[in-house]
Amino acid sequence: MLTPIRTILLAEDNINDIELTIAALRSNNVANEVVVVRDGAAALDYLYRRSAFASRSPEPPGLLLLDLKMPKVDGLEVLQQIKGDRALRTIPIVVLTSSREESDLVRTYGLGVNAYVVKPVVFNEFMDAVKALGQFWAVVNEPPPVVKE
Amino acid sequence: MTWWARDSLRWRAPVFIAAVIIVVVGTFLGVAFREVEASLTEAAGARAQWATDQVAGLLAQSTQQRLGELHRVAAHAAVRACLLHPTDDTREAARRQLATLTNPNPQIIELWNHAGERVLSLAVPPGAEHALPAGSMPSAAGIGRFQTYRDTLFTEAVTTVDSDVTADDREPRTSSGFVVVRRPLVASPIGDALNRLVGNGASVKVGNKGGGVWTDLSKAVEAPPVELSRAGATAYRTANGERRVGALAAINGTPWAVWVEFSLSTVLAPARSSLDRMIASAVGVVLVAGGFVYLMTARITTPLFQLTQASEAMAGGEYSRRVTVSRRDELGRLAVAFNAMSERVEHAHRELEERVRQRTAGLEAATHELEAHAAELVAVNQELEAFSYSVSHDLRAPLRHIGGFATLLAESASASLNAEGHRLLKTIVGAATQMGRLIDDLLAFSRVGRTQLDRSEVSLGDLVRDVQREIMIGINGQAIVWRLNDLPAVDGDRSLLRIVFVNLLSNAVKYSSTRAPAEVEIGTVPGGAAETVVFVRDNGVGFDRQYAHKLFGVFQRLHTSEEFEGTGIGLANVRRIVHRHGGRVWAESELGRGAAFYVALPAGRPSC
Repeated sequence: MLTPIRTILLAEDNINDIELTIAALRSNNVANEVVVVRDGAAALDYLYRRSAFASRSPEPPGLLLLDLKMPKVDGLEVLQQIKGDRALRTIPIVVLTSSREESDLVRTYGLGVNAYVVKPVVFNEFMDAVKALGQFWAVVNEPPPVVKE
Repeated sequence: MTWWARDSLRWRAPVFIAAVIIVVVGTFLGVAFREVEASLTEAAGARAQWATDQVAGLLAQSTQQRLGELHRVAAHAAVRACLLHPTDDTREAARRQLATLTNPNPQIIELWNHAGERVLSLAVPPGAEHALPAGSMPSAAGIGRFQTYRDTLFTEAVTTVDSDVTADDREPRTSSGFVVVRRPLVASPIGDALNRLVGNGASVKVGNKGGGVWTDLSKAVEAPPVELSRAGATAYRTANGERRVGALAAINGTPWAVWVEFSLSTVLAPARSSLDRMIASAVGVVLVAGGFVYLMTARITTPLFQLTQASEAMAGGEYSRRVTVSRRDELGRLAVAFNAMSERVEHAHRELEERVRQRTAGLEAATHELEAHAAELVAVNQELEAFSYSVSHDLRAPLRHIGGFATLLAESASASLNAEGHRLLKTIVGAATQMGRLIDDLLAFSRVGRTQLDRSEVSLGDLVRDVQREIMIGINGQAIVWRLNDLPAVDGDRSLLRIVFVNLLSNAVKYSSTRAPAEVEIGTVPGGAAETVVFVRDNGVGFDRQYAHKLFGVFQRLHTSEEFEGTGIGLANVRRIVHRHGGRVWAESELGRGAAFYVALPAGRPSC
């Protein structure tokens, strides 16, 4: 049975990082649709199908790539909200951190993140990491079934 | 201490004095009583002997009298005639003659001839023969021993009847027979008379010399508890514990002895009562002396007690206590001295308290100041943290972008770029990478300075083996000879100490990578108990001693990164961690001949 190709939600405020991440995904032949949101509030809107995303298809994203440092609502708050919601907490989340300092932060909060990736300065390393992530979470791994409310 | 305590002088002195008096007077009384008792006993013995001799004399006299009377009656011609020619007439005449023997007691009178025949037997009064036994032929004249017959005590007196002397005196006087008189012993007033003679409580006994029947002159009694053949006074104790004294004397002319005894207690009674009176007065003396000494001691101990109480109050912190001075002797001077001393102590105490108050106030101010400083430091630290966070996040992002887009450019414009263009793009990526690494190292270095030490006992041996294994995984092909000696356990932060040895061991491997084989040795330097000194020695390129002071600086390097890669932060981290543990770090080397790094960690737990 063919796994339906699910959406990847990328929550990232920096336009350069967005471009580099998408480039990395594309060059690794990750064909999933990538929806980009620029802050935590928009990410939550998407997940809860509110305001701008009210009319999107009810299928949840197959993967959430979440930056920590974002305007309005930051990545940790988004993480907290998702993991506290029965309908959403099965969505795989990979936290993208800028430094090891930040990865310490994630570990300290212990919010049940599925993985975290320190964005490497060397782009090739980043590409490798994104490639592994995209393939693992969006293609190979069977996402958990949609929880009907 | 309270005044009624057992150890108080107030009690001990009178009790001691009373004990001394009791011992002295008791000894004196005891010795005196013994002396008096001994002399009284001796006097009593003499008195008993005197009484005995008197009684013996009286009895001897009365016995002689009886024998004399018997002899006189027996000498009568009628008696002799009856012995020689026993007819009814002569018998009648002899009977009349013999009946003249006067005695208030019953008696049996017999006449025996030499042929052993009883010529005449006369019972006075008639019937007395039932109470007394019939006699046998007597052998000699005189008084006989005491004998018993059917509970009756009796004695026998025998006299000879002389033959008639012829007129011409041709034949010698010979005995023609015997007159025997037997009399029972009946209660006679002689006993009472004797008792009156020797005194109250005395008793008299008469009996056979050498034992046998004894009597108190009214009935048979036990013989005295002495050797009955020897005269003399004896003191003895009866079966019920009574002390008695008695004396024995022989009665002349008879086989009898007499014994007079009386109780010593009667004799000693005056001595006893005088002893009782003396004991009573001694008790009085003891009580009076004890009371007197008590009063005397109290006069001394009362002020002493007050002084003691005041001293104890002072020891308990009551410095204002004083004693009243009411005497001029040594105790009064002691009280004055005490008051002066307590005044000075109170003064000194007050001064000390004032000083402590001032110091405390100063300390409090200093503490407030310190707390303010600490709060400031916390604020600065928080600022630093925020700074390092933004450095890590905000400085790395543009770097990442530079590197990322340069890489993307190299890929997308690969065809239109010449070789120089590719080299330049690669340099851009390399520079961005290098800067990223520098930022990471700097952040790690600041983290080493900031984090709290998490102390525990760390086995350096385990830690070094672990680090060595990890390094060996990252090595490809380099031949390394490891010499790991035994290492002790130290008190420290495991993860920070791990950073120390990761740096030292990887440096040793890195700077001896040109040697084949590289040799790395880790061990301890024998030294004092105050610290543990661990060395890491290699046979690598070493360093010039004149630059040794630069080794541990941040981003200080003695080699170019083309020779040996690295940012120059490792040894700076090492020094910072060791210093935070209260230790020291230093290095020794000669250029081209290897290097040795030393880490000294304090053996005890430092106060930082």
